[in-house]
Amino acid sequence: MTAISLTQPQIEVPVARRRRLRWLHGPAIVGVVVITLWVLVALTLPLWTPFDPLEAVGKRLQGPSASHWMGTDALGRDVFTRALWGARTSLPVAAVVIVSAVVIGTIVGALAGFFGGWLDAALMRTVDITMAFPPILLAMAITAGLGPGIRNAMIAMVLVWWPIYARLLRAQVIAVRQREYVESAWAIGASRWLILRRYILPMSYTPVLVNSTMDFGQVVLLVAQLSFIGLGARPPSPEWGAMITEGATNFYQWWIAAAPGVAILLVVLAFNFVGDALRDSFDVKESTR
Amino acid sequence: MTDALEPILQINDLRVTFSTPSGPVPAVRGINLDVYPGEALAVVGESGSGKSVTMLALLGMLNGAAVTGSARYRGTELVGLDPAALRMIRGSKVSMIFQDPMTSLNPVLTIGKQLSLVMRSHQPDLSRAAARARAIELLDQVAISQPARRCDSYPHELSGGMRQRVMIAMAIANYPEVLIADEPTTALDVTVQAQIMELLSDLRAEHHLALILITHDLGVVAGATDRVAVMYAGKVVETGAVDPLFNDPGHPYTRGLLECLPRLDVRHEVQASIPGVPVTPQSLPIGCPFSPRCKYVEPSCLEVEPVLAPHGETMAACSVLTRVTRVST
Repeated sequence: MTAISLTQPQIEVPVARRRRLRWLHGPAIVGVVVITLWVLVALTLPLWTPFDPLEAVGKRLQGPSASHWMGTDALGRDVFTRALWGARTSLPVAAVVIVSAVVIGTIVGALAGFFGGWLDAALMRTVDITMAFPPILLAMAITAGLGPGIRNAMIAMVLVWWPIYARLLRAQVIAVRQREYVESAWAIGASRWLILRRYILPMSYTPVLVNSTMDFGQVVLLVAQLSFIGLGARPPSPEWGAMITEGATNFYQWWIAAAPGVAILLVVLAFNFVGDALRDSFDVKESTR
Repeated sequence: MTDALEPILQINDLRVTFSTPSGPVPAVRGINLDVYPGEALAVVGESGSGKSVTMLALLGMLNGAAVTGSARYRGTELVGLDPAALRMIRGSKVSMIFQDPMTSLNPVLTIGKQLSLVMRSHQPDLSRAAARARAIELLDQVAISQPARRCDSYPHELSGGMRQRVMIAMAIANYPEVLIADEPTTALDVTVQAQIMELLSDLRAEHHLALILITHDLGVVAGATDRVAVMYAGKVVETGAVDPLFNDPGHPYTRGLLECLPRLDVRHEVQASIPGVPVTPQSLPIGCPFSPRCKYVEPSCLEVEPVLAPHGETMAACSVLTRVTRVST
């Protein structure tokens, strides 16, 4: 036996650790990999693609081959290149739409939930009215009113999408507002702005975060839908929805519509996987207590 | 005038009424209380007697309740004061801590950060570094070991007793003169309770802090306070210094409370209790609100609600017991 130490053992004070990426498993890994690949493609495509997405590079309506992996379309453009190029429209558009909608929804939802009263009533009735329309119909109406084009389609989608986040966040803010630590901060003189920003919002954003990830795929889809009916990106721009429209007129050349279709499928599925995993991970409520 | 003679907090005829779908509910029905600098006042009463509501009302923290009467802090009327001015009073003049330390801290911020935010919301020109230094100093004051390291801990890494210490540190961070502690030890172990009460007493002596201790634990009252106000059904039914009130209570309710205290030198077959159930503000009897449960009840008790009258060295709102003493003396 060694001598008994007479000095007091130094007790280790636990220090803060970062939340580990425990949600990242199974389909979520596939999702993250696919999203990463798409983002890389969108960023670097001009550096390595052998074909110009807007120029005829071969014979018209050729089937898939070694030189043109997904064939060529009615104007002789390389379909594979155009399908990849579509990410350079859809991903940034979806990102801008989601971020704008989240920002607007967060502000509206936070104000409505925190202050309540007539402000809450006014904001939430606006939300109700907006959500009474099917998103695609409302987006079509707004885009048609503003005039077709990708910029107006984005405005329309933000206008359609923000109420979802406003409602989500409002419900959460109302629940968190009644927590004891909020009252306790109030009792020692914290300002309302401080309470909302540092005490309520960090505990309320989870559903918005999860939903916005899932919605990313939905917005990609909506962009394609609007373009498909001619209200979003216009030909000849390589946008997935617009490409499908072109493919629809060449029904027996299946590859023209299939390539952008698969691209949409991959992106939407990937974001759904990630969103699902995030939701499961955050589902253990009160884990921070 | 010297500080000691002027009450720091004067509550006069404070009334709080909640409006509910089934009609107005008078939770507090006219309270008079003076709090002097540096003293410790206990407000005792069972759940629903209006003790917490009184304190929340004077800090302007009751939304949607009608508050009338007067509550002055050093002459400043708090009832009806505008929200911005009230916010500056909360924390830096009159501060409050709550019952359950487990849920009273923000789970997503380190305790050092929370302390800094609270300080900087009253002193906007305080630098981050200075706020952090003061946070460490405060943690040290409330006897948290290794304060510099604890500063970066999240609330879930601390025990209940430590969290209550952190709450106290936050409450005194902006040098208040009155600290309202709403059952600060109810959620804690008995040994930790004693430590927290000791800490509160030390801080009171050190900072000349007036302490309003809201509690239903008469054991805590005896050891830690100078004066007691007993509340029942939204009114103060007895008030006085601790010793006379414990030795010769002038209200049957106070007597009942004291009889309920378990004693080590008496064999208890059954834990003593006050018979009946507390009255609710919705169903107050005519006359004395305690009359349905009172063993001294007389016909006159059912007609007029008694007011505070001298009984020995205390003031009690009981027409029977105060009359008895007046006759006997």
